[in-house]
Amino acid sequence: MVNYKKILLVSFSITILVFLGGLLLGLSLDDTKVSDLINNLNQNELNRESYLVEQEFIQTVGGSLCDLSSPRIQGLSNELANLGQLLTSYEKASLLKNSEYTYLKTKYFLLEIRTFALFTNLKKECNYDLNTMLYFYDQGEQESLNQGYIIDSLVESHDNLHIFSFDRNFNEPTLGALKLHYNVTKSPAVIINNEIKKEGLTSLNELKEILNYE
Amino acid sequence: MREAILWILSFISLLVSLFWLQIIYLKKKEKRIIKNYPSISILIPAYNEEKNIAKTIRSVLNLDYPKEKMKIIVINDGSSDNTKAVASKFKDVFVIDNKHKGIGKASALNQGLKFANTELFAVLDADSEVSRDSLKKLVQMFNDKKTAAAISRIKVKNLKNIFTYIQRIEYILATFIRNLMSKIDTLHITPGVLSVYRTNVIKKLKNFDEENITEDLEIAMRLRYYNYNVKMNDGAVTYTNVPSSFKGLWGQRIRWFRGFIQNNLKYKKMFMSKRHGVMGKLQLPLNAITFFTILLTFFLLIYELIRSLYQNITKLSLLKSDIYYLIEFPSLKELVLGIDIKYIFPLTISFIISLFLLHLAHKSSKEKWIFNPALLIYFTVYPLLRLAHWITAMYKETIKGKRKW
Repeated sequence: MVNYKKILLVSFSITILVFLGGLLLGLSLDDTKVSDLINNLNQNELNRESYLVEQEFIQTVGGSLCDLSSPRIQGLSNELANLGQLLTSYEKASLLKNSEYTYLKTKYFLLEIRTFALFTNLKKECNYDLNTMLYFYDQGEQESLNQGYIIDSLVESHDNLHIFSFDRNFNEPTLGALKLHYNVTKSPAVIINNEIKKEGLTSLNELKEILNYE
Repeated sequence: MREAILWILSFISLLVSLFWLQIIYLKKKEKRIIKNYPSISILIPAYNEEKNIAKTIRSVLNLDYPKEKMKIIVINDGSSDNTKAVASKFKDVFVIDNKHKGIGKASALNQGLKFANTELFAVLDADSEVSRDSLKKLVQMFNDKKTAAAISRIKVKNLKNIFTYIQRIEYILATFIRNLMSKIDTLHITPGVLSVYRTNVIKKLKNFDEENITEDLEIAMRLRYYNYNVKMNDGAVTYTNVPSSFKGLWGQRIRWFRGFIQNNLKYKKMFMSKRHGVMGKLQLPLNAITFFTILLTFFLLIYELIRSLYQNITKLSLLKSDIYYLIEFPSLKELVLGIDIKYIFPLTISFIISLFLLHLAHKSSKEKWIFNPALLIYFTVYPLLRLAHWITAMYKETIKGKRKW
């Protein structure tokens, strides 16, 4: 007599074990992703620090700060953009939304604010031909997603555009201050060159017009 | 939500596959020695089969079975070609005309059954052939009084294009699964390619159902309903022509799947019924799970398709020609670390299961893997086509569309 209950029980137990294995695999992949992000963040901070030390040195020995900065800002901007992309894609694919991503996002947003301040100063002092854009989005909201596509295509086609993107609902005091300063009330919202604020979906053509791209 | 559905689907697939895997290793003793071979009628229903019928009859005449105990009956189901003339050339073949021509295979079989005054009878499609020892092997299965039908292993005869090669894979897998079902006494199909029946049982159950589009599934389920057994002898090999065009395959599959739905509903009383043992408490719930798994997969796929279409149309309308700038390829590291385990894990599990089952099916059939585009299509595009077959069949059954055989 075949014991079907036993066969089903064995099948069920093995299935549970396999799925637990999958869960562990997912968690370990999450760990690898988090370490990768931490490495990237550290590297980014290091590069930024190295740039600041270099700046300090030039100021001490005398030299052109603007000549030094020109080749480095593009690198810093690209690194930051890559980091942002990694953070978004890793977080989306993470098995459990853990607190580590909150920490990493906090660090990333702070790094963005610092870099934005740096770029704004350089633009003022060295009269660089660069455009900055603060981009506030709502995660999972379609309009923000659409604004993201527009901004991505714009960045890919224009090297002198530097984007600093922020999750509008993310709870962080400095980010809160930034929102308050620019009076950001809805998403998506963009602040172009510290001057022009646009709330709601801004079309590609409108952005090109504001930024004098054609 | 999507992730949860995917995980549930792959959990069920793995659970069911593991169940069947354990069945493979079940040892069941079956008495297969026979001293006196019973008399048997071979019913060959034929509709416009002038090209194939001669080969079919020759293979039957070549069977290793006592000739005096074998009666060959060809039922000409209103053919407009020379089927009747070709069949009539064979002197040991009894050719009859189906009086109710054109209403289905079941009607032709019932007509033939009137002349089957033998202990057993076999049904053989007119485009199929049998191996020499197949009948003897099937007859051995009737040692047990409860066995009312026995089926053979079907191989694809007309391997000529992608469609037929894909069906070869399907037949290998189907044979494997039928063999497992036979082991646990839940086999509930008797295909037209050489299935043998106990005549008095079928006559007692009032012959084949002429209203049913899959009379082979219906009769097997009816046998199960009355607690008869259907067995398989995978040593009995038969060969059949399968549809070699998209249209042919589509029509056949819609009919089969409609038959599956129709007959599972017809015999729903067996569902979870104690009286029907493993068939009621295991096989039919598994059939129901399969059905709902297909529905869930369909809705998931449609949702994903619409979502992706919407995103791409939105991108295009927002960016127009600038969409080109969004095309970029991730690095290997990004690709590996960007893996979304929520999707990849269940999909990988399902893929590994199907690959492993197919490997076992090939091994048990002693068939070789054929590495050609059909294999690639079987794993990529074909599941979508099967899904389309299922959904169309469900739709047609719901609206009670015209049934054709």
